[in-house]
Amino acid sequence: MSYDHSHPRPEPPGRLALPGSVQGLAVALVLVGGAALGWAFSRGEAQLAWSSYLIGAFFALGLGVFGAAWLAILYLARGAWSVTMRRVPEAMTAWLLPGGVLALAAGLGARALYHWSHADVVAKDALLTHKAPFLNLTMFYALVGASLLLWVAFGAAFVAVSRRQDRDGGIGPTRTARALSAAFLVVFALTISIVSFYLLLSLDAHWFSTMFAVLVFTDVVQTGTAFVAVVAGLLVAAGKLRGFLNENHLHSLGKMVFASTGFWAYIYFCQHMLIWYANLPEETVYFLRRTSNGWLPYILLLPLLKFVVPFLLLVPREAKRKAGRLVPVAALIVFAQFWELYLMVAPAMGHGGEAAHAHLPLVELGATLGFLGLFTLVFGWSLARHDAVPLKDPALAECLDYHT
Amino acid sequence: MMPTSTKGVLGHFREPDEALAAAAKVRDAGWKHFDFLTPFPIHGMEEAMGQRRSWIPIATAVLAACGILFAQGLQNYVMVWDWPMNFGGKPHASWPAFIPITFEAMVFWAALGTALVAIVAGKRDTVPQPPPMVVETGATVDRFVLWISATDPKWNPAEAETFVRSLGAQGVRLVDGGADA
Repeated sequence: MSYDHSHPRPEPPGRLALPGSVQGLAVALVLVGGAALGWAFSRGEAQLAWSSYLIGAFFALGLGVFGAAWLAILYLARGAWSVTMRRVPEAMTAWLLPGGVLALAAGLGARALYHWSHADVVAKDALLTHKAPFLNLTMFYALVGASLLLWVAFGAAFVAVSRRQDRDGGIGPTRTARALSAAFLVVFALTISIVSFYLLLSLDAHWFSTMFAVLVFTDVVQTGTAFVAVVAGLLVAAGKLRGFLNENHLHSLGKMVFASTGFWAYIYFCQHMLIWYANLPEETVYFLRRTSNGWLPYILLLPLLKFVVPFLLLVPREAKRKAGRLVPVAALIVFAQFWELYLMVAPAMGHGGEAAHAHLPLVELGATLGFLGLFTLVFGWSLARHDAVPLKDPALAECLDYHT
Repeated sequence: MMPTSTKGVLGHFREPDEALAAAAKVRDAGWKHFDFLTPFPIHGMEEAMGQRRSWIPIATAVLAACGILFAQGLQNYVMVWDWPMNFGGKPHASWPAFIPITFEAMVFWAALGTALVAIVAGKRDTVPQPPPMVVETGATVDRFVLWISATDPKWNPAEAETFVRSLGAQGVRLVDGGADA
C-alpha cells in the first residue's frame, strides 16, 4: 500500500521526557521501597526482607525483559501499528542491566529464600539431594547470570539496530532486527524458563510444574503490555506524539492486553486443573499451602484481579480506545502482577514443615513500589535519550494511517 | 422519483486516498445506498462512508453466554443429575472439570453463531441493490469502484452521474437493468 504521498507528515515530536511529577513520584517510591526493606532487615526478619526483595526484583525484571520480547514479537509479526510506540519497549530494555544485577543479587539472600541452599537440609532430604546438581548456588549464579547476560545483549542489540535505522533509514536494519528477533525468541523461551525456575519455582523446591515457565511468560506479557498501555495511554491523554499515536494504536495495544489477560486465565487454570485432577500429594502441596493458613482469601482474589475484572472491563471497544478507560485497567493489571508474585513467593517462605501465615503484604508492596520507581527512573532516562518516534522506519507511513 | 430501469451509477478511482475522500463526499451529500468495491480493505473506509458500528459483536456476546449456559446445563444434567458416576472420589459437580467443556462450547457457539449471523446480516444490511456482477475490469486489482444504487431516496440518474463525475471518478456510467447484471 502506497498512500504515504498524500499525507502530510505531522511535526516530529522531538524527545520525550518523564514529567517532573512522575520523576518525583518515582523517587518517592524508591524511598518507600528502601524504607520498607531497611525496616524488615533492621528487625532481623531476613525471610520477609528477602522475599519482598525477590518479589520487587522479579516484578521489575519482568517489565525489562518484556521490552526485548515485545520488540521481537512485533518485528517478527511485522506489527506496523506499533512503530510509533516502539521507543517504549526499547526504553524498557534499559532496565535489563541494572535490573539483572539486582535480580541476581537475590542469590545473596539464598539462605533465607531457598531451603535447597542449606547443605544440612539437603543432606537429610532425598529429593533435594537428587536435585542438588541443578539446585545449587554455583549453578544458580552461572545459569541465571548467563540468561540475564543474554537478555542484556539482545536488548542492547535491538536498540542499536533501531539507532542505526534512525541514522541511515532503509529496510536493512528492519531485516537485521527480524533475524535478531527470531533468535531471541528461542533464547527467551529457554532463559525465561531457567530464570523463573531458579528465582521462583525453586522456592517450593519439592514441587514442580510443567506449566510454570509458560505461566511466568504469560505474566511477563500481560504485565508488560499493560505497562506499555499505561505509558501510551498517558502519552495520548497528555497530547504528546499527536499525529503519531492515536486511539487506533491504543485499540490494538488494548487488544493485546485483553488477549494476554485471557491467556493468563487459560494457563493459570491449566496448571490448577492438572494438579486438581491428578491429585498427587507432591503436586497438590503447592495449592494446599496457598489455600490454608489464611491464604485462601488472598489466592481467591488473584483470578479477580488478574482476569475477571480486567477482562470484563476491557470487553467494550471504547474501553480499549479511550486512554481514560484503558489506563486504569492496565494499572490494575500491573498491580495484579505484584499480587501473583506475592502468592508465588510468600506462602513458600515457611520452608519444610512449618507453614508461612498470610499477612497483608505491606513490606512486599513497599519493596515492589521501590523497584517500580527505580524502573521508572531508568525507563524515563532511556526514553529521553532518543527521538520519540522512529521517523525513518519504512513502516511508519502504514502506522500513521492505521485504523482498527 | 421517476420509475426507471437504471440500476445505479458506477465510477472508479485509481488511488485509495481518492476513494476515501470520495466516500466522505458521497456521505456528506446525503446518499444512503452506496458502496465501494475495493481490491483490499481500506483503513478508515467505514468512517468515511458513515457506516454505523456493526451489531454483530453483541450477537457474539449473547451467543457466547448461551454456549456457557448450554455447556453448564448439559454437564450438570448428565454428570450430576441423570447419571452420576464416581471419578477418583471427586464430587459429582466438580467445577474445574466442567471448565474446558464450558470454554469450548462458548467458543463454538460464539464462532459458528457469529458466522451464521454475519451471513444473514450481510444479506440484510448491505446496499438494497448491489452492483452487477461484472462492474469494472480491475475492481479486484487496482481500481476502487464507487456504486450508487438507484434505490437511493435521492436517486436521479442525471444528477447522480454528474455528481460521481464531480468527485473526479473515471469511467462513470449508468448501469441498466439488463446490460451486464
